Amino acid sequence: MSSPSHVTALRSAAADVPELVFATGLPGFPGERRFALVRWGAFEGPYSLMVDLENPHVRFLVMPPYVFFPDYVVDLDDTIAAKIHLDRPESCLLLVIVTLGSTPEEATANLLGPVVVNLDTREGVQAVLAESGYSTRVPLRAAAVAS
Amino acid sequence: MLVLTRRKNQSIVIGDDIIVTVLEVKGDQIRLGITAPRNVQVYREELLAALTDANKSAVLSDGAAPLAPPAPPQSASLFRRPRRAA
Repeated sequence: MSSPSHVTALRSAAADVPELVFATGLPGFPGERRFALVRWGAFEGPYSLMVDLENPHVRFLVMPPYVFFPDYVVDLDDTIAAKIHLDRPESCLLLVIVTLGSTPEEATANLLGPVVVNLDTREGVQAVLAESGYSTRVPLRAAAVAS
Repeated sequence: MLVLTRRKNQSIVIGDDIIVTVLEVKGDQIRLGITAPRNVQVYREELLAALTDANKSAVLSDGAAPLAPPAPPQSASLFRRPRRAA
């Protein structure tokens, strides 16, 4: 398996790469991490890939939650906002990580730990919505059927 | 690991500004009160374990292109544009 060539290509055109910095990594992926955010699939589709620039094998499929979960509510606490120096709500990009299953129907989204990005500084963090009651594996299909 | 014995209403101090107080002991359950600065996140360990687990299984496997996830519902709008009249 060759490492995704688009990552290399994007890195050389660094100025154009939406590069996100996770100063404290993500749970399970500690340490500072830099991810390229690249469109995935059809251009109009909701999906993007977060590709670890140091280790391109670490790739997450992400999407804005509202596509499948229009009623998703995130109550960000100051701790999270402070971590990425987020002080304007309009600078906030919210993404959820999608886990694929062996069939499309088995795809789930992690609503417990959304990725929060400060669009001004390109800093990112995975929040933990401790009291939300959301799960790490909410089926997309169920949401699609319900809406 | 540091091991300390505390009674109800006794506390431990971590660093300069984190205080953990035993509020109630009831059978095998203990209620703790935690005072910490706003920039210190406090949550149950199981949540961190659940996120670690979820992240590890979310990493796309190498090799074949990932299976397409479901297409979004027709009505869904990425940017929440107002719905067009039919």
